[in-house]
Amino acid sequence: MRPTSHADQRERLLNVLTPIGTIVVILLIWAAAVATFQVPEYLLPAPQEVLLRIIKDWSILMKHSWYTALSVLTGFVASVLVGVPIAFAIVLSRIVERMTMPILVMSQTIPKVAIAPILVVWLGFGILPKIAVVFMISFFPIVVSTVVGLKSVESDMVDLVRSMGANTPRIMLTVRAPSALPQMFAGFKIAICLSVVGAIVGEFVGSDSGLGYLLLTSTGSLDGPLVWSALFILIAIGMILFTIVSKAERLMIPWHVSIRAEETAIYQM
Amino acid sequence: MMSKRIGKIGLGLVAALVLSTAGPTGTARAADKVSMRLDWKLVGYQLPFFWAKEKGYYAKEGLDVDIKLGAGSGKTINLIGGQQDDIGFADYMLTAVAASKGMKVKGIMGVIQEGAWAVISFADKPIKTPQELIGKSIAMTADHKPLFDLLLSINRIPADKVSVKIVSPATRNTVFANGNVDGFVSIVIGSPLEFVVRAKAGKGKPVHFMPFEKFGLSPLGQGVITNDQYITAKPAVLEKFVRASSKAFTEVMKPENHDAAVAIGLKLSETTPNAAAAVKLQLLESIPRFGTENTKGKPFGWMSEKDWAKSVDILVQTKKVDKPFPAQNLYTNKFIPQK
Repeated sequence: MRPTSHADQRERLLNVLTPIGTIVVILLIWAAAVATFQVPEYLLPAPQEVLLRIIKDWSILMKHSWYTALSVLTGFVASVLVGVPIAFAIVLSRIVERMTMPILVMSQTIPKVAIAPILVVWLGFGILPKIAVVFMISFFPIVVSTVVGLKSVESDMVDLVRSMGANTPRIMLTVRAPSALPQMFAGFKIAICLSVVGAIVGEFVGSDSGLGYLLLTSTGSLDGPLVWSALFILIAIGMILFTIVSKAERLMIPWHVSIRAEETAIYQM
Repeated sequence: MMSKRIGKIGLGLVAALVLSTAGPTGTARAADKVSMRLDWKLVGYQLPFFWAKEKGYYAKEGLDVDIKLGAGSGKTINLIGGQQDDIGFADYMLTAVAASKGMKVKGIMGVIQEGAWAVISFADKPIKTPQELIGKSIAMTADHKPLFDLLLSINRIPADKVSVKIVSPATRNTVFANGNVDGFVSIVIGSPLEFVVRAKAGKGKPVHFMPFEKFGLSPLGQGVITNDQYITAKPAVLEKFVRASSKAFTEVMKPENHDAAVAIGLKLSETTPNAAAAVKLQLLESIPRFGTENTKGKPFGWMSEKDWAKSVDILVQTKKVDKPFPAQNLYTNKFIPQK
């Protein structure tokens, strides 16, 4: 059944207006609560104060945002470039799996707030310790989701392809890897959100730039509007990066049931 | 016969009921629980609070004081302002900034009445004047940045000429010792004296202090704070707390009690005994700062309006507060025992 243009347009409009409307309602409730309960500005500024501050300090916020975004992206890309090959190696070799999985699990039990100060002492105040924290925090979900995805291929499919003369590397690249993409992207989406957290943890421990630095200094001087301005920019960065990964997922796996289900819902309206 | 017996039992029950609801003369009154938050991990000028607890001075006043270590004056002020703790020990300049932004906090007992802020650097590469800060990297916690900005502002040094590194309290001294920064900001009578002790023991390099007071910034130091709600609700508790603490300060200042005070402080704060020498040195360096010219002849903890007004003036001049406000709004001497 071909989709009607009205249904398609209505769906797209709802997709945009519903979240915007929800945010507007939240902001109105927030403004009303601050005014009604006379909440001090250092505790919770009114949303219009935050907006004015974002406009007033836009250049400062962008300067620090760029620093944080750079450490998020660099750490995330590094964890993908290192994590995915390691996951492939784990699936290909039982010895590698036995050697690396325990170390991976151990590394995740170390609280990043405990390791971050050590990284600052070892690596200094530059962007490197922040990238290292981002890498450590996002590496695990990428490896685990990739391993699960690679191992989840039906054995019948592998047997069929093997019977047709495919060797192990060919099976990995042409059967396992494409089948693993949905799980890999699930891991990437988790990792990109965690990467933002990791960058801020790194900046909280020792920094001279970044939104984490801005949050600390504005909290220290009880500058409520600047604190919330930095928080909103941080949320925006996280949402933009998550959306980019989601769009990449739609491009890479348009055939997957989760993507097709969204399209089908439109067609059936 | 039966009815007489029932009558006696009933009378006994009524008597028991009456006695159980009797006033204080009939039962022991439970001590008032007081939550106290210090400004930092164990430092010498905090020892009298632990002394008062160990010697039972708080208990004698009917107080059960829980003394908790802190992680910076800013956090302590936030906790007191948010009524998460009842009494705090914090920097009075930061307290003034918080009060100017609407936080309902007040100083009730001055302790370090002459502020002891400094930039600490290694003696082989000393930072001796504010001008020498230009081009250097200085570590500090977020709480201390407003005061450092004040120092730069008073000495007309553009803030962007000094590389400020914000660090967590746990990391600050380590990054300095490791050479990651050229100096750090702290009060002299605190953890920087650990470097002095280590240097004397031949385990580290000697350090140099660049005191803020030599370069136009001599604000009030630290003292006991509370919030307005607690002042309204529990003035008697505050009076008792200040009285017991004042007695402890008077005793701890005596040289013959220094070692015992250090031992008690280490024990109650569960601090490693390795810190003993540094904590004692911190106490010795703090004692001369327990008063100013304006507090001479007054009881311990009494604060001078002149000293507060000077601090407010600094904050106004350097635009750390939006507009002038009366210094009397920031403190009260009403809990200081007159003798």
